[in-house]
Amino acid sequence: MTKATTTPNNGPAGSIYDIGYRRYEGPRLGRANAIRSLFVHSLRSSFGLGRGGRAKIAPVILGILALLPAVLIVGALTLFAQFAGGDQVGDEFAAEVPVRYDTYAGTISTIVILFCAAQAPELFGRDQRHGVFALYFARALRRSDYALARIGGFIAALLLLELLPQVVLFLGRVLLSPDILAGIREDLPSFGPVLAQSILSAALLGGLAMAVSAFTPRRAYAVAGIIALFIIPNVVAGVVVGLGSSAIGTWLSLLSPTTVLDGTNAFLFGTRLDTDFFFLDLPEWAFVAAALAGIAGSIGITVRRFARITA
Amino acid sequence: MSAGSFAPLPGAEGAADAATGGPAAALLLERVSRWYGNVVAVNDVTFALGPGITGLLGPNGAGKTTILHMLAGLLRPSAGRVMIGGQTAWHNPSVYRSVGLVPEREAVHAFLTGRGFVEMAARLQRLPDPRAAAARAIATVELEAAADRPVGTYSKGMRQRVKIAGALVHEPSILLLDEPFNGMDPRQRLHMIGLLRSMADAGRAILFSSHILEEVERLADGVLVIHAGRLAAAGDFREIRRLMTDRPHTFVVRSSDDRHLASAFMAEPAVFGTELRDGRLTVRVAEFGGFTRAVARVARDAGVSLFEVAPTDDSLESVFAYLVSRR
Amino acid sequence: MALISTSDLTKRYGSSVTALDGLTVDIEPGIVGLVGSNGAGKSTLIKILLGLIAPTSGTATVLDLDVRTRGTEIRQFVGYMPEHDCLPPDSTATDFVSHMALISGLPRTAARERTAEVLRHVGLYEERYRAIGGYSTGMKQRVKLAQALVHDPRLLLLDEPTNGLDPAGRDEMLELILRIGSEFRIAVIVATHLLGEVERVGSHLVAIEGGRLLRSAPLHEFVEQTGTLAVEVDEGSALLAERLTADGLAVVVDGRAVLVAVSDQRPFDLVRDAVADLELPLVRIEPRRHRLEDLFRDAPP
Repeated sequence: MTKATTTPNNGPAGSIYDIGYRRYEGPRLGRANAIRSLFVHSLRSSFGLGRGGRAKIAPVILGILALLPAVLIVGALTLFAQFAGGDQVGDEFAAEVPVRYDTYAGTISTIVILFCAAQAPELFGRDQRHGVFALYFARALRRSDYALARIGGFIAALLLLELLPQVVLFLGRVLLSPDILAGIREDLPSFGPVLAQSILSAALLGGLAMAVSAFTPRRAYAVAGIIALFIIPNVVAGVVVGLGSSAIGTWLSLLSPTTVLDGTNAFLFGTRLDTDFFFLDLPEWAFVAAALAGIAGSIGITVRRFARITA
Repeated sequence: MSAGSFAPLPGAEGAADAATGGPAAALLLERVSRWYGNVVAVNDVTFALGPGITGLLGPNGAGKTTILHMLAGLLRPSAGRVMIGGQTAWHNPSVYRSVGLVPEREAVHAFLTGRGFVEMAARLQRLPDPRAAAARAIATVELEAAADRPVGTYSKGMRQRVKIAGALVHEPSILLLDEPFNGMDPRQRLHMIGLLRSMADAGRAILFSSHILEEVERLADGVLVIHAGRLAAAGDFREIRRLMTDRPHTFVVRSSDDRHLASAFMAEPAVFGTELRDGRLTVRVAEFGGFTRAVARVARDAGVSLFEVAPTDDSLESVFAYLVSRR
Repeated sequence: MALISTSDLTKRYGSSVTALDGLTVDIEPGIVGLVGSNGAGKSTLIKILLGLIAPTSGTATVLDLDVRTRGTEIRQFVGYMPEHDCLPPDSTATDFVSHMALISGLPRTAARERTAEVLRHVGLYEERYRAIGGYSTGMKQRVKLAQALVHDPRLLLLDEPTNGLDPAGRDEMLELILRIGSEFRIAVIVATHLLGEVERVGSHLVAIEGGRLLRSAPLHEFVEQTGTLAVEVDEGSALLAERLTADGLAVVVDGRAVLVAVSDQRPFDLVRDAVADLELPLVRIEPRRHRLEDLFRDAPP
């Protein structure tokens, strides 16, 4: 706490207080605290907090859209529970519902990509465009710290975006099932994979989006770059496969983040990959490996990029 | 300091006649206004300038850049006349030949070399020998050593100099500079001041805007002060100060016996206040001329030695502050 | 111990550009004017002192800490106000300066309190709750200064703090710097190319030219008296010069002023009496002082 140096100038009927400059003699927290603060700041910034009204529009809309399927399902379940009653119908309905834990990520994948394209450029772009680096690097914060804190904050935001709806779904299902404890026992095992998938997805998409954003201060280029990165490899792979070289095409698909995440999803939930697009089976570990490589690679490139910037 | 030919304060008859009678004033603004929608950037400004150096002063956003661009023929006045050498400035190619403008913002492509930029300016002016003209201009601003490097590698001061070279290449009789000393280090500035001085002495009319008042004070023969689009004052700043009769002058005096001198001063009608503080005597004066004529006599009669006498606000800085604050 | 100490400090970029060339200087606490060519020299020195870039050779210490090895610590105690734009337009001043305070290591409550105080000290009041994008240049400079002060540094590095300010703004900024140096008692280094500013607020001068040290000394050594008295009268300079010469003084007319050589007390009364006898309007009697720029006038190109 700042030490009070008020030296009241006391007379019988009045006093004057010294409100001049005060020295700070309180604690000075180190690097870890700086990283944490920047992390929190990045997380908040990803949702437009602290940046004025207009910055909140895109993330709020996307956040709502991401939650929407879960809310709708829970709403439908509620209505069903009210009118139909009895487990049997409920179970049948639940089995028919197209949105489940293992499909949720796929359902909102477009939303997540849009969120990346909309928000990732802001995190590095703002600082780059307005020269704020000089002020960060003139403090006890290493360049790698800066990069990691920003990336971390964004990944945390994505995690929130993807996990929250699933939590809503979980709570909805559990609270609406006739026997809550049974409901929990039934749904809880899914939550491990849900968490793992969300983490992989947030880390991979977030890492890649931030990597693109780190290389250009211009928003339009970053947005285009991110969208291209997420969509084009898939298209290319499809074309190659269509042209006949299925083997190359399928391995090429490992370069597509969305495909990789589909693969990890399948791996974690034990389901089969939707094979309309892909004609050869890839060993499932390939997807997980690709995901981890993508995460490490993108973060590594970004950190290296900042190590070279002279403020 | 050379006298320069300076129009009297606006409103006096002389100003409007300057364009018609006698040698045409090099630069003339007559009741000029410029507005952008509801924003009036320049409001009913009149002045005339001849050879010599004039400083154009004013707070940020007062209208200085607008005036310079109108004089260069790049902007059309919304009202009034802007004349260069007796001809309208707007869209007049012959005016472009006699005027050189050094704008404030970066106006040079980074990939051009210094020489390339100046030669391009020379060619735009349709000079018969652009290369030689460019070489001369570059020599004038002492940029030969760096002339063949891309402008992108220049420091701020060097970029200023290359812009000036570009504006000088066609040897205009009128030079307009917007914040020319921005970014220059002391030596470059001294050199530029010398250059402008010699050009003015050779008969050119130079108008430059600046925020660095101590330099304007030394370099300019007179000033034009713009405040919120209006011309607040024109002329030699000391004269302007004398004219501000509603602001009493203050003098600081160091003597062999300040207290005795103070009481002697209080007997003078020109003095209305004295103050002894910080080891100095401050005198507040109702009438400038009355005091200056009395001070030596009073000291002598009181038997007090004068070591230092100085007006406290006889600087351009003070005059300027008064002009832009009181309205 | 000197506040800042460099020894043979050199910084080269590639093989062609030498920004600093064997700079050796000791800088004492106070308000120090760092003057020199624009471009690589001053900014490079500041960045090396902040530990942001490594020197090619030579050593430098700040507050007794080596810049090469203890850069992080140095930056805890140093506040930096860059020359260029560095503020995000969509943040408010309060939010931004608090954020910077947190990054500097202040706990949350202290960060908020000090932000509020520092913004008051630099003169930002209700504006602080509006987005920085709408600020005038003067206000932006104050925010830059505030973020440099918020963590109570022991040393402030200000790079061209009056850049882009009009005369009133410059005046206020210089007053603020004076207060910081004298009232707040923080050591300040002001990098500037305006000698008038150094003359006004500085107690020391460090002049750099071409990456090398030109001069480094307390300011009063530069602006000491020259042994000449300047006398200004509104009219009659020639008459005055004649009369003083007749009185036996060495007299030279320089523009508006009549210059009199003084080595003792004698000339003062002679001047006074001459002006009184001739009934001339006396505007000024002032000892001529060296000006800082004389230093650069004689410097090799």
